[in-house]
Amino acid sequence: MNRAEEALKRKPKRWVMNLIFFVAMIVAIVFSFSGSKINWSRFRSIGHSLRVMLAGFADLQWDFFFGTGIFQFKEGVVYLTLVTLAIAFIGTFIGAVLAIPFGFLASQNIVGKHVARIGEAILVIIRVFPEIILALILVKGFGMNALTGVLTIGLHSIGMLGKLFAEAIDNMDKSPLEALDAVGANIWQKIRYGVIPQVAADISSITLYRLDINVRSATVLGIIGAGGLGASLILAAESWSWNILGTILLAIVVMVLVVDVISSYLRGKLV
Amino acid sequence: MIKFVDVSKTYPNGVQALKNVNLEIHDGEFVGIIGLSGAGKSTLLRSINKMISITSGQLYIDDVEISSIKGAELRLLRRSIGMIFQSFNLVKRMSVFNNVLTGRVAYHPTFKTVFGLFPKEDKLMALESLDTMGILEKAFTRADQLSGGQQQRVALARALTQRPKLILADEPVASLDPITTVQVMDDFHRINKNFGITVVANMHHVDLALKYATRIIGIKDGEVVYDGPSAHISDDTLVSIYGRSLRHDEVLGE
Repeated sequence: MNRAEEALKRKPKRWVMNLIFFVAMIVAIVFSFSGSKINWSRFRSIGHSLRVMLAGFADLQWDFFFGTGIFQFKEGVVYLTLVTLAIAFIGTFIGAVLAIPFGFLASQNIVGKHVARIGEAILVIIRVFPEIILALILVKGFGMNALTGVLTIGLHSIGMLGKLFAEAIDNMDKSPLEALDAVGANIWQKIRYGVIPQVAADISSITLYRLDINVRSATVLGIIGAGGLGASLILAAESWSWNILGTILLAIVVMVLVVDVISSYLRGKLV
Repeated sequence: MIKFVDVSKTYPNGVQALKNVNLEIHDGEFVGIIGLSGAGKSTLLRSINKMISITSGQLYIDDVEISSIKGAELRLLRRSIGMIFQSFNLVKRMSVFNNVLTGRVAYHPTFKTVFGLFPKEDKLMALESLDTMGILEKAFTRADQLSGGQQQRVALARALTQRPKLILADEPVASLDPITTVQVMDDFHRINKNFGITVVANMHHVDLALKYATRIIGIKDGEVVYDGPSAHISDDTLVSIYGRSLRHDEVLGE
């Protein structure tokens, strides 16, 4: 027996674990399907339904789009899109401003290992709390309006922004801080001249990226009444008004694309 | 004047970096500290502006005992001492001018400096320092656009803008090429001669230390084994500092 054959014998045998894993997967899938009552007859009419929907989407309502005609909504799509954008923009701004102190609080460079853990824990709690649930709670306090959307986006953004800001602060070059210590700078002067110039570009870039995400969130949050396009979207879907739904979708696609292109361009200019 | 009296430094991990050091450095001197890596050169240098705190003995700067000072008093001490680092320690994303201007932050209240409100004299001081270092035309470019030698000159300009009486240099030319090294060492010489600023520099190039410093302090295992004029240093002295005689190419350090 040569060395290669011996080595082959020592090859770990994994087939038992693989089999157990495979069987467990099958059981889970079968169990999941058995719980849901699927209406198979719907599958037969799905082609027809899709045709009706697509025909509706094609029949764009330009009066409604520009808000020049009168439908079941007071305002046109362009206006509502701007409201959604404004909610995302102000929400992101508030989130970024609030995330800066959290970022410092979660940075080992600034506050040391132990305090940074506390800061990180706070940010994790903010992050894991689903946005839609936060909105459902806030809507009870602030009502079905744009303010609810702004607050939801602002508060929820802190979780991710604070974490990424802290990473930017931890990744920066620490040697200028040593030099600032040597010129007799205090902690505020060190932050102003040693930290901020190094992280400003990163923080702006992260915030622009979050704005991208928040434009999408603002649309979805509108569905539960947090202002902007979402409310019209859900009403149109509930009343089977495919032409109106299509008009709104067009606006959403254009808005998301435009924001994406602008924020990518600006982020490319940074650093 | 800097005065070490029985100064020792033991790090928390038990390493004794300085052992009963007694020294006096007078105003206007150009002191080169030489020794092997880990001999305690950096600890000796950094104890002078308390970037490292000594564990026993007394250290006087102009008759002020500094081992007990802290907070605002320490910052006032540090603003009168320039410091130069091996890796320049500039904010690379900031303009040369703003980097140099940070030499003034300890002269003004926090709120003014945080809003960037420096008096016109300070701005002119920063630009004059850059002019002294021969890089005035680079004032408004970003620091990362400059070569290593230019960046070290910016660091020197920052130190000059502090209006220091003393400049500490921790391996100032260790990351520069030989030609730039000579230019930067000439700058140190000029600053020492023209402005009467005391220079204390750690160097591992023995030939540079002998050429530029007027006084050599040799350190081995935390102890001062030689202290005297650079002109009088002999091969025997180098043996006592480095543990063996140096070959010609090692003295040149290139």
